[in-house]
Amino acid sequence: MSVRPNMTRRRVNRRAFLRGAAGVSVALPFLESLPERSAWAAGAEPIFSLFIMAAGGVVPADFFPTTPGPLTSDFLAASGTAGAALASHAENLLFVRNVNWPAQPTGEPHAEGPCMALTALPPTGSSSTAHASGPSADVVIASHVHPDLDPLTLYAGNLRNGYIAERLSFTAEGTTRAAVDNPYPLYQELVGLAGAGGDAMARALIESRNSIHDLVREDLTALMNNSRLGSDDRKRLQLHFDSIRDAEVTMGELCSSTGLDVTALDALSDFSFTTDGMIEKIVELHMSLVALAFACNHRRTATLQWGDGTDGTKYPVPANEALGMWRFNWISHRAQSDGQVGMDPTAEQAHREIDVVRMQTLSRGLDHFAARELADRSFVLWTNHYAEGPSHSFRNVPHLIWGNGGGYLKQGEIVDAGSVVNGQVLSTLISAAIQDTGTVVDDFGTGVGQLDAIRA
Amino acid sequence: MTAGASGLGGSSGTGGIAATGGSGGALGGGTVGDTHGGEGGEGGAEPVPTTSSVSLVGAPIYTRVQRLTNAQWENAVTDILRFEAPANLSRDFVAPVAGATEFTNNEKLLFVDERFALDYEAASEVAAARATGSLEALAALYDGTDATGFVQAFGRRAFRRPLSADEVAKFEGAFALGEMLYGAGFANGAAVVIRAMLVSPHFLYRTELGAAGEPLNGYEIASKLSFWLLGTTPSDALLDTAAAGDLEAVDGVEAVARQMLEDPRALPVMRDFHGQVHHLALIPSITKPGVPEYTPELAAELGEASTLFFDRVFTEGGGLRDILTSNQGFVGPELATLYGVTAPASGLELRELGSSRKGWLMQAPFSMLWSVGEQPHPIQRGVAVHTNVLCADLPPPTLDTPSLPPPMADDLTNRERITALTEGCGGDCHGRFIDPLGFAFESLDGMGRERTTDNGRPIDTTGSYPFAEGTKAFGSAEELMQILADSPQAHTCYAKKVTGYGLQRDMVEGDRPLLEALAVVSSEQSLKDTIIALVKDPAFRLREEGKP
Repeated sequence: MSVRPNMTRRRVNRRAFLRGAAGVSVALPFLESLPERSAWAAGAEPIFSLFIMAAGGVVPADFFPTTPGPLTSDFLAASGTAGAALASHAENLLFVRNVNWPAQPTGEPHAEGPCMALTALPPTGSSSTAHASGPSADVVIASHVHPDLDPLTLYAGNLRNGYIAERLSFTAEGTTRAAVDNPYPLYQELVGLAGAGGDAMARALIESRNSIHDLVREDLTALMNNSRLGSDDRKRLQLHFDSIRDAEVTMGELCSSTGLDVTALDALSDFSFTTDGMIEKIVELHMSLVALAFACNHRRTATLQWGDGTDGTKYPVPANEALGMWRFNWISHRAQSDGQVGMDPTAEQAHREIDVVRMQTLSRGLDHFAARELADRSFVLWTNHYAEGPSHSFRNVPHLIWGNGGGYLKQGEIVDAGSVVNGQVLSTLISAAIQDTGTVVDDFGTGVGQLDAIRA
Repeated sequence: MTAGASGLGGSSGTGGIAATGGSGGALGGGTVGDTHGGEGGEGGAEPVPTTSSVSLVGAPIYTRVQRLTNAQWENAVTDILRFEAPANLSRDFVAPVAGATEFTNNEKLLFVDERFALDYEAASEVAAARATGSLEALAALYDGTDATGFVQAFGRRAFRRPLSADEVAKFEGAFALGEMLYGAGFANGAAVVIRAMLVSPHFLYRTELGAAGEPLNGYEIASKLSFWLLGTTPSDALLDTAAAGDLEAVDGVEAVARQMLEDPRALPVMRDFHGQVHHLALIPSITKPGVPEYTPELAAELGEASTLFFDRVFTEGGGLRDILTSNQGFVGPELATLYGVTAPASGLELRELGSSRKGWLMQAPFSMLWSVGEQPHPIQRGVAVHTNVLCADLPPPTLDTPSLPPPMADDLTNRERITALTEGCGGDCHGRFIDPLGFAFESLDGMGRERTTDNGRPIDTTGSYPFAEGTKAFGSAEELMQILADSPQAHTCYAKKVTGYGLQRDMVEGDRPLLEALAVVSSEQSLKDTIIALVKDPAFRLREEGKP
């Protein structure tokens, strides 16, 4: 006879550990000062969600393959599109075409688009001060899974001097939530460097735990070697033995500082944003920290705005050097102007090259999620604040989704949503993110129902 | 005295006296009882049993490494660290899956996976910090400051036996590590020793490592008795008793068990036992929309009235017979009104409920639990008796079970509409085993109020049931309750539950002689006596013979 059939090794989430001590934060070694975060429901795996919105549109014809069907690494690598940079993630990607914002541009699309990307509601106002008409998806998710904690609201760009800066995460009233542009504070919060003596205590805790684990392993081995034990008992002790190793992996790898670019993060203690392409490194650092925060169940949801509404980054790509280093918004406009659009072919080529750079950055960011084994426990949505530059169109805005959201979402496919408003996409994603609560959302924003095309 | 000489039945072939005339007798030696062939000779159909019997079709592991339950872990930590009250450190431990086994303390549900490994570690760190965090706590923990003495004294409490010399040396090393990492001082060394011991398999598992068929050693018996009957680790005094060899003889085991059964800590254990047998955890989930008499105040009384009833059965030396025949019950103001008895000034008090209220199954919580609104649910009530009181198997319902017709449809009584429904689905099991038991309670509506008519017509509570010992007819629920109280099958069932809970494993056919012997004790004596009979039996005191 066998031991209980479901007595199998199961990867657990840090939440178990963080909450495991009756409300006292024991945390993992390097997270010694992490406050207790309550989001774990026994028996239900938490799902994590990151919503990324980039600025400035893409070059649609060369951005990503659009013919519906399977998405494989080889196919994507050979596609000749910017998406080829994501080839190593193809099996975890879902590309969704034909998704529209719920309203047409009426005044300032650089502000209107971001207000709709995660709210699925037409914005209030049409100037540069346009704001959202309701809560964004991240806020809704947070209200379900950790109502006492705000979502992480992150920003990569010229936040302090941008013409249209943060415009992605909104409270229930539609008030814009302030974003954090420097990754350093989150880094500090996660690794507990802010607490005096925290490092020494963490090292002592690590060392004592390791020694105790060795003692336990020794005792378990001795018990397993007892010839009177039957096979079921040996299996059960082996499970215990293996679980200690799994716990060490969880503590030591998935939810640890391993993989963080500590040098780059430390350098941000004296943060000063520059428009020379630094934005890409900031995006990657933000994503690395969000992946860590998710692996440790520090937060369940986050947003990352990738560029200002009229982004001024001077991307160092060959075609832009030929242009004399235009601001990205001008490249997007195909004209050397924030107020006019044109058809400059070199600018279009520069935009094409920038798309590649940004997909390379996204790929490196997703590497952090993959390394922390988040593909089955999260999703990352990447979209844009409009479809492409010259038209500022709010139709067929590209949507890339990484991760299956706890088995809720398709992966490895290109799908055509069928010209739906993004409310259907967001209803589906929110439902995936809060599935452990048993709640289903099918009317987010102006959306009606979920989008079956992206559901597993 | 030899190991098996005092045994009642001797499970699993250990020998002993089959007090009721041997297995296969009146209680039915088979797992499903006698059967008759399928109607019309349709080949392949499952034979339908014609008589009921106590089902013993489990699949035990007979583990030698029994992980502590969450409650046992919490109590043990409280006791060995000398906390004044439980620190509730186990509150977020994963609860065992309910329903997969008869009881949630079953050996098959207790193992250490990654989640538990993490939780145990986290909890050990908090416990150690608490136990060494103040001078008062340290003084309660150990009255010295030497590492060796602490390791030996605390180790004996944690591992429930003396430590070997190698173990002492190993944990002295842990003490030294604590002082090296956290600074010199007894508290720092002791904290790491506590952390290490609380995650050790010697603390987390209650072990039985002797040869098969041989008696457990005194320390193993001490742990087995204490964790079952008190829900916690053995006291220092009990370990002293074990060290003196007083638990190796059956008299010593009996004496300790009798003491434990009078200890207040036994009460929550028995409360949990009866709660699981009768699914009392479901009571708070009772809802009766559209029934204005079902007030929040009444709902609040139901659970406590049930708990107090079973508590009293245990503490007052009662047993299954009292559960099935007592005319007394606990009432608060709301239940007093429902029963028509004097309300207590405050809280809940014991009252005579009248001769027409016989046993727990005729009290309001049972009636309300197994009903829909104001209407009794005879199928649910019948199933509850068939499975919880008689331990008989129940095949799963057919997939195409039709819906219940609405109450009062076509001037039918509740009994008539249920009969029509179950006849329509080929109701061999319903008609023979379930419905008659349920119909007996038609004198109690869905609120537990007595009634004589249903839908304007007289109720019919007559029926019969094919007990293992023979078919018995009854005219009312009161008569059924008396039949159950006298039924060897019911007492064998109760013995099965006591034994399954106490040994923390499934019961199998090889256990039947033991259970039948315990059933005689249950029928004539108390729950406490039944437990004493079990702990004296080889099934409890010996390592299961022939098992790995």
